[in-house]
Amino acid sequence: MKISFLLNGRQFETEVSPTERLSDILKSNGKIFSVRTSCLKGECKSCSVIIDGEVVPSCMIPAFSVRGSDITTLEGFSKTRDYHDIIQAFEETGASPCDFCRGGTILTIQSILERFAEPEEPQILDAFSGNICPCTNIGLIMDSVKRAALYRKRKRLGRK
Amino acid sequence: MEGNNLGRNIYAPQSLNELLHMREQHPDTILWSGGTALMRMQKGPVPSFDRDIIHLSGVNELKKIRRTERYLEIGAAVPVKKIINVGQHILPFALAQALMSIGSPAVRNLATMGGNLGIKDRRLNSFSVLMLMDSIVELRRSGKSRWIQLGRLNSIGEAEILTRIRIPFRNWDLQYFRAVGDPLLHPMDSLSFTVLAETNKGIISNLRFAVGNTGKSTLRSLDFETYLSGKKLRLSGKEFDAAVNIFQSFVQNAEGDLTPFQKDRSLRFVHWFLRELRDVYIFTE
Repeated sequence: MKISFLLNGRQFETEVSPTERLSDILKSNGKIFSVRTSCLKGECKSCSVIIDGEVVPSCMIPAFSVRGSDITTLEGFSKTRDYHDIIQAFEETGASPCDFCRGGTILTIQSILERFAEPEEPQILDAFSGNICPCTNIGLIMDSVKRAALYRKRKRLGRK
Repeated sequence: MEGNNLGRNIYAPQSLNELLHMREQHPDTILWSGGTALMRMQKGPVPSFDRDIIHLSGVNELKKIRRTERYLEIGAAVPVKKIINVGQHILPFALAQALMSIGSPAVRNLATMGGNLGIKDRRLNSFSVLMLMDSIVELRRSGKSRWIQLGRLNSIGEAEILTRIRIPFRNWDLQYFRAVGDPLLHPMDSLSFTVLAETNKGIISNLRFAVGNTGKSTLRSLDFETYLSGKKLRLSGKEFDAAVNIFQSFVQNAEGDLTPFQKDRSLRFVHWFLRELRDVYIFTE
C-alpha cells in the first residue's frame, strides 16, 4: 500500500504494509531517529510525534490511518523557535533528558505550552503521567516548563 | 477500500450511510476508531489482524458532541481528550475521573469512548460510571436505529454499530470514582469503584454503586445500596461496620470473574469510601 503524508513540512510518500506501526515507518522509511520504540503499548512516550497538532504515541498508529496527516517529529520541531525556548529552559534548570525520552519530553512540553500560557503543576504532572523514563527528575522538568512558558510570555509581550 | 495486509481489506467510509452499508455487507469486520485497545492487545512488534478493518476516521457524524438541557450526547468516535475538555461544569465529575484514568494523555488523544465501551468481553473504565448514570446508547444498522440501556450492550446484534452515547444530567451530590490496574492488559488485577448518590438535607438518597473493570461483568450490590440510602451524613461507627459487613458478605459470594485479589481490593475501596462518609464528609446546606 502506498501512503503519503506531510512529514516535518515536506510531502513524504512510501510503500508500506497497511497495519505497520508508524514508529517503524518513520525509522526505517523516513530515517527519523528521534522516534524510539520500547513498550509498544503507548505508555513510555519515547515514540511520541505530533499528528495534526496532537502529541500521540506513534507505536499505536497503523499506517492506514495516517494518510494525508501532518506529522512533526523532534527533527522537524527542532527547526522552530519554540524548540529553542525549551532547550534554553533545560540549560538553565539543569534538566537533561536522555536520548531515549528526549523527543517525547520536548514534544510533551510543547503540547503543554500550546494549551496553557501559564501551566500549573497539576497540569504538567498530568501531561507527564505516562512518561516512565527515570533519567530526569520531574521537578526539573516542571521548572523547565514554567521557565519556557515565561520566555514565551516575554516574547509575546515583546520583551527580551 | 484502501489496501490489504496479509489478505485483509481496509475500508474507509466517508459518511455514516456508507459505513452502515459497508457494515451490512461485511458484518465480521473490526471497527477502527482510535485503535488504542486493539493495538495494545497486539502481542508482537508487527500488528496483525484476523479480520477486515473499517476505519472510521472519515465518518464525521460519529465525532460530534451535543448538549441539551437534559443530556450530553457524545459520538462514538470522539477522542477522550475532547470529551474531557468539554469542561468540569458540564461533564459529571465521576465520568471525568473515569476518562482521565484511561491510558496516558497521549493515548487519550487517540482513544474514543465508543472504543472504550465497544471492546467485546471486556468492561473498561468508563462503562460502570455511564451505566450508573442511566446512559443509553444508539445502535444503528442500515435502515434501522434503536436506543438501549448501556447495561444491555451485550445484546448488540451482528452488523450493528454503536454510534452515540447519551448521558442524562442529574444532580449527583456524591461522586466517587477510583480505578487501579489496566483492565485491558491485566484483567485479573484491575478494578474500578464507582459511587453516585444524591443528598437531601444531609440524607443520602438514590445511592448507586458498582465495581467494574473485572473482565466482562460489572458488580452491583443492591443490599449495600439500599442500606446506605436514607442514612444521614456523617455515618456513625455502627453504620460504618454494618455497611462493611454487608459488602463483605456480598463480595465473598459474588459470582463472575472476580479473583480473590480483586475481592480484597474492592473491600479496601469500600473501606476508603465509607471512611470518607464517616470522617471526611461535611454536609453543608
